[in-house]
Amino acid sequence: MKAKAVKLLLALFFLFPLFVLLYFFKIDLNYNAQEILWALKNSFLQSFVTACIAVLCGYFGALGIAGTDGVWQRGLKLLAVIPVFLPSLFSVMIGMSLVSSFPLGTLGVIFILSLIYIGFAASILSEEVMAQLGRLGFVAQVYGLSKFKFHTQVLIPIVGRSTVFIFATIFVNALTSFTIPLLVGGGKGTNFEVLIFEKIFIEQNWSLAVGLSVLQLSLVAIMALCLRARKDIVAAEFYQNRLVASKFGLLGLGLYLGVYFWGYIKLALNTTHIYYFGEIFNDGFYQALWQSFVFFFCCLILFFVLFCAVLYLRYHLKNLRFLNFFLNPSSVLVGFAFYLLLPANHTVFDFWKVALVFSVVGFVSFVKANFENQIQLFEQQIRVARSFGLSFSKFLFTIYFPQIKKRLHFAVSLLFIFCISEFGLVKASGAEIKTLGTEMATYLSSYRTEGAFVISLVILAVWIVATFISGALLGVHKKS
Amino acid sequence: MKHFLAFVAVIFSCLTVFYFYRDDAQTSADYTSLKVYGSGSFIGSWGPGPKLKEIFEKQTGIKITYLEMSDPALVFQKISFEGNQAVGDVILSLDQYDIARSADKLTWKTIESKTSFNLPENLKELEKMEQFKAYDWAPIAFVARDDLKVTIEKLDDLLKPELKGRIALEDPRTSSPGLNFLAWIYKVKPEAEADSFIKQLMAQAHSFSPSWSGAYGLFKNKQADIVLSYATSPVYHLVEEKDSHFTAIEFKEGHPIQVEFAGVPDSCINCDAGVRFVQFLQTPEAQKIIMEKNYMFPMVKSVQEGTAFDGVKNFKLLPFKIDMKEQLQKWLGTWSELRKNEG
Repeated sequence: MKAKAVKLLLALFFLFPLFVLLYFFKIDLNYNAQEILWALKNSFLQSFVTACIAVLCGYFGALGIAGTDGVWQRGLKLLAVIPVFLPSLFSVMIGMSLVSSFPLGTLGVIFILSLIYIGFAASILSEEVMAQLGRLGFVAQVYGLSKFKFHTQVLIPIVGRSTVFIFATIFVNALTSFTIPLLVGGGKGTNFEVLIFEKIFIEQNWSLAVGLSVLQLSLVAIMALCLRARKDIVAAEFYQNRLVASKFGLLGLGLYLGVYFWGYIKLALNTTHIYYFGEIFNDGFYQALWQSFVFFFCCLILFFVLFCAVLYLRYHLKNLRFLNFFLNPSSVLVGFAFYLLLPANHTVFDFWKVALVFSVVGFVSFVKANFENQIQLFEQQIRVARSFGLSFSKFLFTIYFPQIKKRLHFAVSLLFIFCISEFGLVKASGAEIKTLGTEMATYLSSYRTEGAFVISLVILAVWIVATFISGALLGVHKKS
Repeated sequence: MKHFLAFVAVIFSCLTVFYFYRDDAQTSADYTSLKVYGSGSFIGSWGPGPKLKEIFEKQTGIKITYLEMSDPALVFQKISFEGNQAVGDVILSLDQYDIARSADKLTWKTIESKTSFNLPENLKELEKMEQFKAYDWAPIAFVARDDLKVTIEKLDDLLKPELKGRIALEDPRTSSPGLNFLAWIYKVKPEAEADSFIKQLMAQAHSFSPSWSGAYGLFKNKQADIVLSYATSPVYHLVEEKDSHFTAIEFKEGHPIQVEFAGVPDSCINCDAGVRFVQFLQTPEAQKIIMEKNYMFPMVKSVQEGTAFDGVKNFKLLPFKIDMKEQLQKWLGTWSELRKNEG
């Protein structure tokens, strides 16, 4: 009964923005089917090819990461996800500086999106490989399996479903991306997000935009519902071995990171001769730094509460597929729903407003990317705990969390950089808070674009320091 | 784990208490304060907002609180829903297209200008506007480095083969200068010719960025040779970077004008102060600050005398007028259709 109530509350939480919008606007169902199909057709090709490239390259990159250990492994995993957090414009500039005659159109979009998502796929897939393979690689090595047989008969069947999920995540993100298709996409740039934007800002037709958003949610949900859960696997510590590790993958990943960051550093270095750091590090900067931390803690609390709710449901019920419906709602519309509902210009409200928007927009995909396999892995423990009559909180705090503290640390670290570099949701929800991300966006929207590179360097530096400190607090740097 | 949770709880409690303590938010019924919506670039630390706030507060004793506005359409929609409960006495950073497309969602106060301008003939229309008051303007122009080898004198020159893939433009669906450029083409060419020109330009352009800054960033990184910007852009490089190698290109057809406006919605709480603030923006003192921070021409011509803005060539201008909403939608519709069939 309690679990059903939690499930209902969770569903209501994610549906809440939609209710707000439906209260203010009537859904307009007068769609131009041709236009929608056209937008779908354009973006489908870009998203599908991007997801294929990212997952394929990411697979080999993941094997490269799996061949390292300690600080190198953690460092590579974190470095690889950075392109996702930097503003799209940086990736576009880096991508364009790599190719002398940049191919605009579909090819250009795929190139830039792949540049952003290969590292993300490698990082998340490496987590999946290590979490799910356990000692099987070592066992296969003892049995003398060839590398080819190991990959086709052991590793791919095990991580296959995780790979499909990562593919879907990249596909959905690429499908709803806005800046890149518009910037380098040529005529095929119009996708669903652009279409929603056009309805709101050009035609002022909010009703149609809300309708399109519901349609987008439904399309994503249909796709996400087709994703089947992984098989249950017994948790076991990962054993590194020569069958899993790939020098080719490590070299490829190193090359990818080298090319990306060399492009980034080149762009950032061009800035230092123009800007005096003292002018950038003004009162506004320190306010943004301070507020970034407050925003992060608001998000951390909300994400933690929601995560506990998800675990509680997993403890009592099995089916959490309804969450897939909320994999990637339109950030403009969710932001606007909270914008309408909560008062403007109230600092405390504003922090919570953006944290709520971020939770609705990003929580499901964040948890699925970071914890899906952990939830699966510990299901057997849940059964044992329940059979012994262990309370949920006891199980959570004394058994489950201590076992996944490294993963928790990784997730908190990702949440931290998400929060401090966030600016799109802050603007969409009309919140009057500053983050380092909004500070960066202010520079990006002026003549002083170079200042944005300096701020992005600061974001990365703050992230590395915070990750190290939180790691020390959680004891993840200790060798177990 | 418990230590970590305790740590998080303690840190957050401290931050919250500290923040409540320093929170300086005002209640909406406070008649000694003014809530002003503006773009990030206006109210940010590099923009004119902070300095204007300081002077206005000193002169009037009325405290200004800036509210950042990501897009005027969102703010108009919110205020129209909230009616009398709405927060926001003044809305800044509006351009002629915001006014044409979405200002009719709200009703606006009439504001009387207290400053007399000496505007160019083609901008006289601005003096007749009663609800929205202009505070800066600039001709739209292509900007290049002075080592550009191609001669560009008219719109058709943009189609020269040497410029293929070297022009950074803005998407008119998402960018105001981009929309101004689209309107420029339709205003100086017959419709069929304009359609054909746009079609060719789509294959010619480097990219259509979602915003002016995106296009300008590409240009600054030398990924494009020319960029659609403002005739005043080279002044920024001259003043801030001491770089005189940037130049705005004059076109024979004449240049369209981008104007920024302020307005006071009828839902205002402190309306008189709102009107006073808009009038203050047009005073020479405020105009100088806006000019120096926004790198746009002031409405009061005398303000630019003796400054780097004096060196900007007087381009031939197209007459300023607020275009009809339907006309803009038609142009955008055509642009979108042509774009669909390209790339």
